[in-house]
Amino acid sequence: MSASDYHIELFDQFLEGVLSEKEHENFLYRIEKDSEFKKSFELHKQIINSFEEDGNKDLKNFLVGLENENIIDNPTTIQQPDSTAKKLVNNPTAKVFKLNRMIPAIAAGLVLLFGALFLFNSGNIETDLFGQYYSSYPNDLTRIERSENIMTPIEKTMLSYSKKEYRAFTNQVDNLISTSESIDLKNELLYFKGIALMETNQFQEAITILDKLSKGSEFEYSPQVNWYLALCHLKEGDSAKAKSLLQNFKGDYKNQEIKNLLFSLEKENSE
Amino acid sequence: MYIVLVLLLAIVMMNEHELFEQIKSNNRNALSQFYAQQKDSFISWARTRFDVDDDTITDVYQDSIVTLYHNIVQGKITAFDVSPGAYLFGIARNLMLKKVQSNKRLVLVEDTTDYMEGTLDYNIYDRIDEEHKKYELRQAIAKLKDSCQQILKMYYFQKFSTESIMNRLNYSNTNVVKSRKNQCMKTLKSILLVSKSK
Repeated sequence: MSASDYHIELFDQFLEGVLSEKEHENFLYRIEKDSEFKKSFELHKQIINSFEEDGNKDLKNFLVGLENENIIDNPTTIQQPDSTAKKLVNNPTAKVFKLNRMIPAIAAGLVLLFGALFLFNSGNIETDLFGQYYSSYPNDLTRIERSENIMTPIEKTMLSYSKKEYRAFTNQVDNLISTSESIDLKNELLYFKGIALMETNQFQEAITILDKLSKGSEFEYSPQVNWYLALCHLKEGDSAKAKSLLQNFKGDYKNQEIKNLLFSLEKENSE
Repeated sequence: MYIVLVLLLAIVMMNEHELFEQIKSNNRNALSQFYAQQKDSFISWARTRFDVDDDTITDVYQDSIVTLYHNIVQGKITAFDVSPGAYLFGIARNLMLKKVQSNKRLVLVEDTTDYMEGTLDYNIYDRIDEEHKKYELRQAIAKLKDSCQQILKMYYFQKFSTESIMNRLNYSNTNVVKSRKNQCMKTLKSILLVSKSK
């Protein structure tokens, strides 16, 4: 193990509270006496904080997306395997399953409950796999390293994407797409719009865009388009379509994940 | 009758344990359902206690779900020893009080000293507000390979064990996971050093 590997491992063990009492004391002593070690530890904590913050923000966006979908979308389009929760979000008259109130009812129908539990556990495998494999795609279209008042319209729009302000981004990007003369740029912006729609739980709309891109001419994000399109189908419960896209995947992107996901999908089919 | 009641209690406990595990493993579907199940009760409860609009109530409710998740993966809550809803309301109550106090619009005087105050982490939103200051760090993370981002996110955000990551990503053993994680952290730190030296 190299010295920096050792430090990373040591930092993690300290933060996880698994060091022995003596190791813990030594660690604190070193923090006090060794400024480089302290600096390196501070950076390590900042990185972890950044992962936590991004993750928490992703989760918050997901919940906001659940709310927005119920307000904005046509209810007839919400026919997904996990749509029950989304329908419940803004429907005060919906009957909600509350265990503490359901005890007498469960007494009357234990068998029914076991059946419901079985269905609950077995019906969401695609969504579970989606949750396991989905991560948002970073903005690598523009490098945003200057102040906002001298940015180009594309940089400004992509800044919203980088800040995970996906609704603002989808509103702004349509204008750019309609005015852009470059087919490649149009396709690239459409790709990011597709991801933004996924981030706001508008999977059918994302499928429409990504499907069109995947059938069009090759461009820089073609492999990514197919990966996210497969994930959209997975989220929508259509594992056959997701599998077919992954089996015919072309390009060098997420190769290990594709292999793992196909393995999981095949395992599910055989069970 | 006694056997039926014992069975019912076991089922309730099993479901709460299962919900806990599903939230811990970042199952978004389970979170969505839990979110929907508790929402109406929360809104009714909050409306009677706080002079805030429904958007604020919904915002605090969402923050409470995120905080609940955060505290579960951080190991600050290790099981639902009261009902999941009670945990959520406990968190929501404290977040709501903090929000109302910060707006100086408190209408019902309650203090925040309860059984959870000392153990739970309510600072995550202060940190989120400072996000723009950490832009450079986020850019560096975005430059990492997807496989690196994935393993670091699983380890540092979702707090999956190395064994769990090994199973999820099909690594051969936990030492390979640790080594890969350390390698990705080293790469990230070197990207940061390069960007700072420019």
